[in-house]
Amino acid sequence: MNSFQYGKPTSLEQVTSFLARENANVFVMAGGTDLLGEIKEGLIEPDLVIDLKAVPGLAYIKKEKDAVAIGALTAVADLAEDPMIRQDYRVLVEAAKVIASPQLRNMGTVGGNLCQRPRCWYYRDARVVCSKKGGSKCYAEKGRNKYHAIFAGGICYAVYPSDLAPAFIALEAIAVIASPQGERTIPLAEFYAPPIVNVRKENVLGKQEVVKEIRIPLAKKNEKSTYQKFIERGSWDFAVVSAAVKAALSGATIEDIRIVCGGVAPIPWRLKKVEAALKGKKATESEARKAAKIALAEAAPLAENGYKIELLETMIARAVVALGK
Amino acid sequence: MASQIWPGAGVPGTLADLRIYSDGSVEVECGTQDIGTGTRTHIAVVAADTLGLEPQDISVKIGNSDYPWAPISGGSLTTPSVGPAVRDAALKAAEYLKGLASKKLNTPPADILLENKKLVLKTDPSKAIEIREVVRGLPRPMVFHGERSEHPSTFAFQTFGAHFAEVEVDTETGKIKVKKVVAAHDVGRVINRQTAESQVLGGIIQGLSAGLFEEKLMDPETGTMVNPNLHDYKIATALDIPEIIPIFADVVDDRLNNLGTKGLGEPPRIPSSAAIANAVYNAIGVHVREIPMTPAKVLAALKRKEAKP
Amino acid sequence: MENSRKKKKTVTRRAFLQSLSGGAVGAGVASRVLGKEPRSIQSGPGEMEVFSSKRIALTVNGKKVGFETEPGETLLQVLRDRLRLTGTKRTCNRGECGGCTVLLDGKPVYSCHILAIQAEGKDILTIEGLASGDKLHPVQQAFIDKDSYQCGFCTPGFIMSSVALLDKNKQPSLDEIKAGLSGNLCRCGNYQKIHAAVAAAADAMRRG
Ligand SMILES: Cc1cc2nc3c(=O)[nH]c(=O)nc-3n(C[C@@H](O)[C@@H](O)[C@H](O)COP(=O)(O)OP(=O)(O)OC[C@H]3O[C@@H](n4cnc5c(N)ncnc54)[C@H](O)[C@@H]3O)c2cc1C
Ligand code: FES
Ligand code: FES
Repeated sequence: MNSFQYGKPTSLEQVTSFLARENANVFVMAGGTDLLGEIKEGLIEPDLVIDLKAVPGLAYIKKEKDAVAIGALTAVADLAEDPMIRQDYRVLVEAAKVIASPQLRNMGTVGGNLCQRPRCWYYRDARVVCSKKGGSKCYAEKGRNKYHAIFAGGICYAVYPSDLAPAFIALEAIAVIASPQGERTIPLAEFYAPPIVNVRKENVLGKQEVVKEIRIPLAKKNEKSTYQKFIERGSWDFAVVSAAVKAALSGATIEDIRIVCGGVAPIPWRLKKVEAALKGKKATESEARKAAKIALAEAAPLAENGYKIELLETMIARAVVALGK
Repeated sequence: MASQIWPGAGVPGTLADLRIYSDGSVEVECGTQDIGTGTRTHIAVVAADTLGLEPQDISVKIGNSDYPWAPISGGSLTTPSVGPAVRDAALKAAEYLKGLASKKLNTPPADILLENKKLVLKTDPSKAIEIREVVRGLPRPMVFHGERSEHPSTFAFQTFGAHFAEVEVDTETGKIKVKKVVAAHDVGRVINRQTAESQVLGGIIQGLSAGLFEEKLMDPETGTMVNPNLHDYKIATALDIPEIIPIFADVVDDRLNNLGTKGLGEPPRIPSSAAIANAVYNAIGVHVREIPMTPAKVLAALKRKEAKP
Repeated sequence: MENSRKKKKTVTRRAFLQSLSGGAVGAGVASRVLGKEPRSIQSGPGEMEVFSSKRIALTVNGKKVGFETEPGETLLQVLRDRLRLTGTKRTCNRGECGGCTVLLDGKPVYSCHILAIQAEGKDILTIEGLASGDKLHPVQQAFIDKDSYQCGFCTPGFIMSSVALLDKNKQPSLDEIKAGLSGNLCRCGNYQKIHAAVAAAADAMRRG
């Protein structure tokens, strides 16, 4: 790895004021599972890395009056094993426990998972100057693209790799963001921005901002949720396609539903038309497949990723069926 | 199901030296190597078995090209090259020990057996003398040179094997799960059951991994391999491992060499991907003709099948 | 990055390389070949502390060790290159194989993907710390008894993951063993015997 300096903060205020002050290559690091990969590959060359783990009190899962609050530095493994999360938010547990490997789940954090960079192999190859790195084209468009986006590509076809992001967005999570000016909140769904907004980034975080906490509304009695992730081998794989679903059911009838997919677009991809088509319907496989086809008609696959369309329909159908289980 | 043949015959002319010291310790030197296949164990087993000792009594020196010549490890030839050379040296050592003992036991060498670290009279096992005793006072270490013999010239020889795979195919996602593999191999005499089983397990897992996951993705856009790492170039994980049952015919073919053994590196790798591919065909009724049989390819094959009237 | 002497040399070689190739491309190549030229950032009073190198202490296999580390040094580099604990393997160096698995405060992690400076004050257990005297840890013994390796390169990592698994789950099912070891790769394909060793070790540990 290259040389860089190490910042050891004692508070988030120290972090954000430092970020605000510095124009240079300064990066925050949580578990480092993604950031160190970027440094080793030469994708970024930080002058300084700020160790968020040094800040005390940012790893917690708390049930509050109106929401469950999850500290950004909470380990992915701790999220998967938390008894309260296990009871109320199946989608989170199902997403967290299939992330990477046991070791990486111990090391990686919730905040880092939500802010991780794409895994597109062109982006990850320092020799290739693609649009995400300031170049003029997306190499995946005509190159090797079996894992790339079927929705909202164009400028960049890299998919957003996080498993937690679709799950949290399905749960209507809110991100609490700290900056020198204080804190602001934003629905996690609006935290991500597609390449047309800024191809160099996947989120709207300002240079002096860090994610402090994720808040999810308290689970209602009739709400169910689930995460279906398709991977090629048994473990240690990013989602080829995934579907996070939360629904309010009355009996077998879907009163309300949110469907957010991973592995299919440059940001977590919500399928509002499919949601609308499913409202008032029974939570069955055939209804789900019928509804899913509406969205899939809008997909624009590349040469090698057309199979994702079928997979997505199946993941949605399985998620809807799993709601009832 | 799929089957294999492969020579696995070994290399004539492979050499090994066996040394006996006056304190009774035994050492084998051979310019071979152990890349995880168990060469060290095999040498000790062959020498010990021939001399009536335990494998841990033999000190094995390998991995140095100053030692007597042995071939590379590849092509399933290590055990059938090195094993017979060690056996040859050990047989010579055994004759020498019997010669020494024959004087002390007052009986012709042909009537003496080597077992339990002793030289024992065949007709009267109560008459025995420890190997250590026999060699005590040797003026210098005795060296015995062993050499692997020529191949028989009048017939061909092969290893034989057949794998039987049970798979589950998810026809909605194209994902293949291998549930169980039974692998039967004829490699002549099995020198060591544990290490032989490991060869079979490894051949099957690598066949499974290549058959389902491993793909070198070359890119015409950049002229590079886009997945040169252990994450995008996928190899099987613990969660992909089926139940594997290795079976050995264990038929000793004395015409091959003085051990009646053949090699076992490639043999379990040869039919492993094919057995899985054939099981997939049996499950879904259409061939996936290219490995790795990724979900995308399985889904495409299923579509081809639907399209056919 | 490995030591400060090297860093000084880097600057002159960089200047040389840049003078040859010139322009942005040259700088990019130089930084990839030679390592980046660090810019020194200072912090004021009350601000976050900033280090270019730091003397830290941690516990490795029960022993306190202290040393000076630069931020770019991984825990794996410290274990292997400084403490000469070479049982922990470097294979991929990017969190994709498990060969470098050690226990950090009792939990399995990849030492190649953690900065040494982040391990300050932590408790590290490596393969070298498992045996007590001549008595092997039950997991080590089971790996020998079940012949659970071929080349052996993955073995230390698998053993550390197995120890962590059995710490949490005294009687794991085969599926739980597989899941617990799903962050380690064995290229020789010896998984079945590794799983058998973990089951045997669990039995041995229950019997005490
Ligand atoms: C081999 C491998 C397999 C993986 N598989 C999966 C998988 O299957 N699913 C999955 O979802 N992920 C996977 N990951 C990604 C893994 O890095 C994340 O899951 C992990 O949670 C990231 O957390 P971290 O704390 O280590 O992040 P870091 O590496 O510390 O940070 C990641 C990025 O986020 C930024 N960041 C971190 N915390 C904050 C914060 N609080 N506020 C603002 N910015 C922040 C950093 O600057 C950096 O850019 C995998 C990674 C590897 C190496
Ligand atoms: S060397 Fe650390 S995971 Fe491969
Ligand atoms: S024994 Fe060789 S990699 Fe596992």
